Order: sequence, then structure tokens, then C-alpha cells
Amino acid sequence: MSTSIIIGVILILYLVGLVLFTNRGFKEVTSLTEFTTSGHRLGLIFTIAAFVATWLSASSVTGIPSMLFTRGVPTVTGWFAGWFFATSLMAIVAYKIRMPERPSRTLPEFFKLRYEPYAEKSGLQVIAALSVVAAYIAYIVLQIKAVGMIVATVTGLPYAVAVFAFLIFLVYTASGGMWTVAWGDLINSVLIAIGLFLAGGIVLSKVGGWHAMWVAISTTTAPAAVGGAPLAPGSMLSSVGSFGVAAMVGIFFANAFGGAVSPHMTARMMGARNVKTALLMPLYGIGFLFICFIPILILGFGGKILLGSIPAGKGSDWLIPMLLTQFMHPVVGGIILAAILAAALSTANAQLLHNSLALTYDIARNIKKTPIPEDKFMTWTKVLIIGVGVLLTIAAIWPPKFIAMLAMWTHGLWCSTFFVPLLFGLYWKRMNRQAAYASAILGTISFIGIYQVWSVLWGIPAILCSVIVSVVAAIVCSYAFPHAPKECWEPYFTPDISDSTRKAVSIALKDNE
Amino acid sequence: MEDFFLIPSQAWGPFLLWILVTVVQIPWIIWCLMKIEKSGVRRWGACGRLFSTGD
Repeated sequence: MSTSIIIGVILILYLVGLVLFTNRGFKEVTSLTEFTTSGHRLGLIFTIAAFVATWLSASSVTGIPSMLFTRGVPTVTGWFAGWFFATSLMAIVAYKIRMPERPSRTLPEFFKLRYEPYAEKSGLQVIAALSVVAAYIAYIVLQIKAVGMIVATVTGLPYAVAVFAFLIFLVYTASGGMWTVAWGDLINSVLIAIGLFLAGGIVLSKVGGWHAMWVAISTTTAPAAVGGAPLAPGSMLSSVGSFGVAAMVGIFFANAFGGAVSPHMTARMMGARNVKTALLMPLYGIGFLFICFIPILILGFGGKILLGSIPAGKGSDWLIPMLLTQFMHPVVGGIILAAILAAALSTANAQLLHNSLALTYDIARNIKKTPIPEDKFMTWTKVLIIGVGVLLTIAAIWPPKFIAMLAMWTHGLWCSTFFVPLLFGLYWKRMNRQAAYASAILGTISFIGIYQVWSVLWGIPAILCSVIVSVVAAIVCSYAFPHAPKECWEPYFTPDISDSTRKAVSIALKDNE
Repeated sequence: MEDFFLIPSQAWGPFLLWILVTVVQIPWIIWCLMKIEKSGVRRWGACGRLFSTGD
């Protein structure tokens, strides 16, 4: 039986399993809150599965090994440490954001509830939604591209066919809202772990074991690409490599601060059954992720030893397809390919869902004068999921130039817009509406401006500059303007809220629609 | 190359950083869980057992 057929059968088995699990999620979607945030009743297993599956994306399972292959240990400094610090910071957000008896349904809506619950049309919600949409455009295109490339290479399918086939399942798993994403993630999280350990185990055995791998990496001089300049021996072990300290600090903090406030992760906290569930999600999740990153490390360094250099004309993204086709039995390669698909799908479907919700829920529903019936709203969102999915898939085939720029900005954009208004809002009663607007707008402008012009200003990376600007703006405006009213902060500080606060929340959530 | 423990010494810095940022949340989470239990608020998950979610 040919390799393509074997791999095809395994992929079909995975996709059938995925559809069966996803279908169970459709039955739960009985209201707007069930659609957006699983009715705030996801149990611990669902929450952890959704968390780890969404966390592990194509960037983790293919992009990180590629970076390890090219750059070596600096990947651990900037990306391993940065992303895991983000996960630790999520615990600070998780403790408070799920405290209210009626949490917000999206991250942009949190800003409305916390800062301007009486506003008919919330400008903060719109600003946050635009930041969400801009970053997700790049993020989703990158996931689709990675999957298309790997599937096309390993199976022989044309790239365009591979990405549109991926789109079908992407849209299907996102179209039932948070519930279908969560049910799909039950199977995705298990498959990702199986695939990673299988791949890591095989590569480790082929390079002679853990110790032999490190000895070889310590002495390799093979350039990343054939024909490139040889590496200095030991350069793969450098802590910051060619990045330099300032740039590496910037990468670390962009990944850490931006990742901690990412909309799809805060959505999982708000979807949790209670505060404890939201808190245990990063605790148990990070343990699972730490273990999964060991085989990811092995794929990068082991791949470097097995392949040496990538052939000229191909980028380091070819690492995983080459490992699968040259070193894995077809059955094993098929399972690992299914795991990569699961990683990309489980992240991209959540991002597609929250991207669409940012447009329908946080912008359209927010600013529209007349109420939108719930069933109509959900239909619009599903149509938008399909429409945006198609557009972004086309962009993955013919990527516009601005996609690459957006990709550099993703975490930085979220950090500069959300980090201070979110954390200060959760832990500082005095933080008011004016401070939120100032810190979000000035933080975002300063990040984009400094990043584009200097990248590093007076030795401080752009991301940290923007956080400093945000913090100063927040503090100045919090004292220059009146204290936030009780209705804004009470749900995040006390278990029993007053009637006026309960009424304000009901108005803000548009309960009468 | 000299013998090493798990990873070469030149790479200890980044790996220790990775481990540190992973475990740093543990005391915070335990403190939060204890606060929830002390509050007794069932809506938050208080149920008499620290690591149980009260499901």
C-alpha cells in the first residue's frame, strides 16, 4: 500500500473521530452565552483539554522545532520561557476575571463591563475588538499556511487543495461556538500528545539518545541551509545567539505579556465553571505543556543532527515534513501528521471563532441601535466564520504583504492594548474609564510607532516601552479623573454585589434583547 | 566535550529560566485556592477541598 494511501487513511480516521466529538458540542448550544462562552460551565477536564489544545498550535509543533534547528538555545530563552511565563501570568488573570456571577462573554466585553457598563455603545469594546481582529488575521493565516505546506508535502496533495480541505474542518469545528471547539479539543489534546511523544521518541532513538544529542548539538557546524556559512562550534548553545540581549528581552516580554492576555485564553477562563476551575486550568495545563515541550525540543535538535542543513531554496519550515517523509514509517508519519493537524486546527478554530465574535458581538451588537435576536446573531456569526475562513484561506495561498507585518505585531499588539487595562482593572479599584482609554490607545500607538521606527529605544525594547507608556497613562488618568463607580469594580472584588451593580451588569450585557 | 548533567552548562541559563517561569505560578495559585476556601463562596468553587472544583 502506498505511503500516501496509508497516511490518507489515518487522517480520515482522525477527521471522522473529530466530527463525532464535535457533533456532541452542537447539542449544548441553546443560547448566546452557551455559544460564546459554553454558558460559563465548562468542567475541569474540558477546560484543561481546551486550554492545552488551543495553546499548542502549528507554531509550537512545527515553528518551534524549525527555530531550534536554525537558532538553537535562544529559542528556549525567548519562546519556551516567554510562552510559559505567559501561562503563569494567566493565573493572575484567571483568579479575578471569572469572579463575577455574570462574567463577560468576550475579552473586549470585559472592558465595557469593568469601565463603562452604562455606555450604550462602548468605544473600549470596539478598540479591543479591532486589536483582536488585526492580530488574529495574521495568526490564522500562519496556521493555515503551516498545515497546507506540511499536508501537501507529505501527502502529495496540491497546496490549495490541502488548505481548503483544512478550512472545511476549521469552519465546522468553530461553527458551534465554544462548545464544539471544546468537544473537539478533547480528542485533539490527546492526539497532539501521542503524536509529539511518538515523533520525539523516534528521533531521539535515531540520534543515539539524549546525551548524544546534546554532544552533537554542542559541536555541530552545519549551517541552517546548504551553502550557508558554517556555524562556530558551540554557537547553538548560546543563550541569546545573534538576537542580542535587548532584542531577546523584547521577544521574551512580547511573548509573555501578549500571550497572558490573548483573547482565546481569557475566553477559556471565562468559560470555566467557577474561579477554581479557571485557576487550575493554567496549573495543570502548564505541567502537561512542559512535558510536551520535551519532544518538541528533541524534534528541533534531533532534526538538526539528522538533517544537518536544509536544502537550498527551502526554508527551515521544511524540517518537520522532511523528518516525516525521510525518517518515519508511513503509519507513524500519519499519526504524527494527524497530531500536527490537531494542533493547528484546535488553535485556529478558537481564533476564527473569537475573531468572528469580535466583529459580530463586540462591534456590530455593541453599536447597533436595535437589539439583535439571539438566534439571528448566532446565524450571522456562523456565516462570518465561513466568510472570514474563506478569505483567510485565500490569503494563505496569496498572502498580502501586510500579513507578515501583522504577524510580527500579534503578541505585541495584544500586550500594548490589553495588558494594563486588564490587569489594573482586575486588581485596582481606582482604575477608571479614562485611564483605560488612555492606556489602551497610547500603549498601542507607542508600540507600533517605536517598533516600526527603532525597534529598541534607548536600550528598551518597543514592547516594554509601550507597557511603560500604558502604566504611566493609567496612573495619571486614574488620579486626574474621578474614581471608577462601584458598579464597575464591585463584581471583581466582592462575592455579593449590590442591586445597582447587578442592574448595571444586566444593562451592559443587553439582557433585554 | 566534558561530561554534563542533562544539558551542557552553557545552556543552563535558558533552561533554568524556563523552569523558573513555569513554577513561579504555583505559590500564587495555592494562595488563591486557600483564599477561595476561606471565603466559603460556593459559586467560586469553595467545597472544603483545596484542589477540588466542587463539581
